[in-house]
Amino acid sequence: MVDDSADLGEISGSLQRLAEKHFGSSCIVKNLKRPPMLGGANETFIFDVEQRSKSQRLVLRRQTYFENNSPFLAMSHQYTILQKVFRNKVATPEPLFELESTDCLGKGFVMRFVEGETIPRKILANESLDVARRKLTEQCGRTLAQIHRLSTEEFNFLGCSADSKDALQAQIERYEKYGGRQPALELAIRWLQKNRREYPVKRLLHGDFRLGNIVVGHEGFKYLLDWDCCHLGDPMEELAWLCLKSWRFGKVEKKVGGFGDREILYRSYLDNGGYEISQERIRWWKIFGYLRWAVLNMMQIHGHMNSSRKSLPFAICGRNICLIEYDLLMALKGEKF
Amino acid sequence: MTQHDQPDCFELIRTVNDFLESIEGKLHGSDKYGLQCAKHVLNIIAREIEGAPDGSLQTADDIKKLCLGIREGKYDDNWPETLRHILDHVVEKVKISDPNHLRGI
Repeated sequence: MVDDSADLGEISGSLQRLAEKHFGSSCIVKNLKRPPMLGGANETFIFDVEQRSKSQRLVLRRQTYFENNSPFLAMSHQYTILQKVFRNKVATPEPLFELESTDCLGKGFVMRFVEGETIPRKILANESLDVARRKLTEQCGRTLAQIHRLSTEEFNFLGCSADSKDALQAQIERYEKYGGRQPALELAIRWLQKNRREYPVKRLLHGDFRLGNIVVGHEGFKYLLDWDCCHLGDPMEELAWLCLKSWRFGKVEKKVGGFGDREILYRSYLDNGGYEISQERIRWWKIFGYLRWAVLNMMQIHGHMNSSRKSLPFAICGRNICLIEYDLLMALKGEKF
Repeated sequence: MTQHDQPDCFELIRTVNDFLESIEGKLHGSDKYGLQCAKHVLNIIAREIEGAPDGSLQTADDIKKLCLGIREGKYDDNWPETLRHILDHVVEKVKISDPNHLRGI
């Protein structure tokens, strides 16, 4: 991580005023850093607030994507979700306060920094995390069951989001918005439409449960980050998403996120109160998952080509679409039409 | 076609790549990540120039027709053949983007 302070100058003054507003005029903001933005919707800043020889490390999450029909929740909804899941004892960073327009920092919120490893390839390779990897699958099953068991009453405001109403239709509309002309994705859409499955319950889903959004320590699972794709849906969607090849980061033989086996995940999920496993629906959500991941990449390259939201990683997203299409077609090959 | 002077484009790409590698150790955080992305892009460009069109590339019109046809169900009765055909083209794209992906890496 680098303290590219010249780049951060424009926000450091506003951040100092923000800290004074919440913690008093004697506090000082120090060590402002911006971790690399690999994709996603939110920009992250990490900083310390020092006051009377005490220091606390905080994180500012800021919106960078402002298009209509965004696959990402509004910052205010993300903040509300974080408050509710934190209150319900889901292991997630503590949300502290939302930005206001007078803070001159855009839309976003501040939460407490949590220690641990988030970089997938490090989590999958570091010897110091051997024990963590052995525990992680079981812990993921337990956390997913915990989230899916939360009362949806508190999250009713999500019910009107495109992804909660009809997840497939939401993807099709985005695919078309980004200029959809991908035969492989058309095949997926056709297959998904012809093979739709009813599902018995609609529960709260994190929406992007996989390495990259999981903070890992020596004892395994520590925290769950990034609730920006949270929606209401079939719990099987979430199990299928975690098992996509795209989230194995080179460790393809480990079907759960590059670190675990499906049987252990399902067993732990069920033992902790998760919903009945439907292999048929998991297969449907797997094809859906590849479509969704490809459409997210289409969004990044669409933004790169058509707006000022440009970057090298976003440019590469365009050329990553075929890799997802390959995995998608290999999965679709085994399915009956 | 004009014959360009040396170095050819592959040598140019290699030279830029060598330069990027020479500064890699001096970079941290987002700059280091950006450099890895830049090297990846150079590799894509090199593979793309090397694997020049062999005539099998689809035109934008072909692709549009295929997409509309699938959506309307025209290929439902030829599903396995259509999938095979599309997979062949996807494999060609993957060979340029990241050939390791075909070996499951």
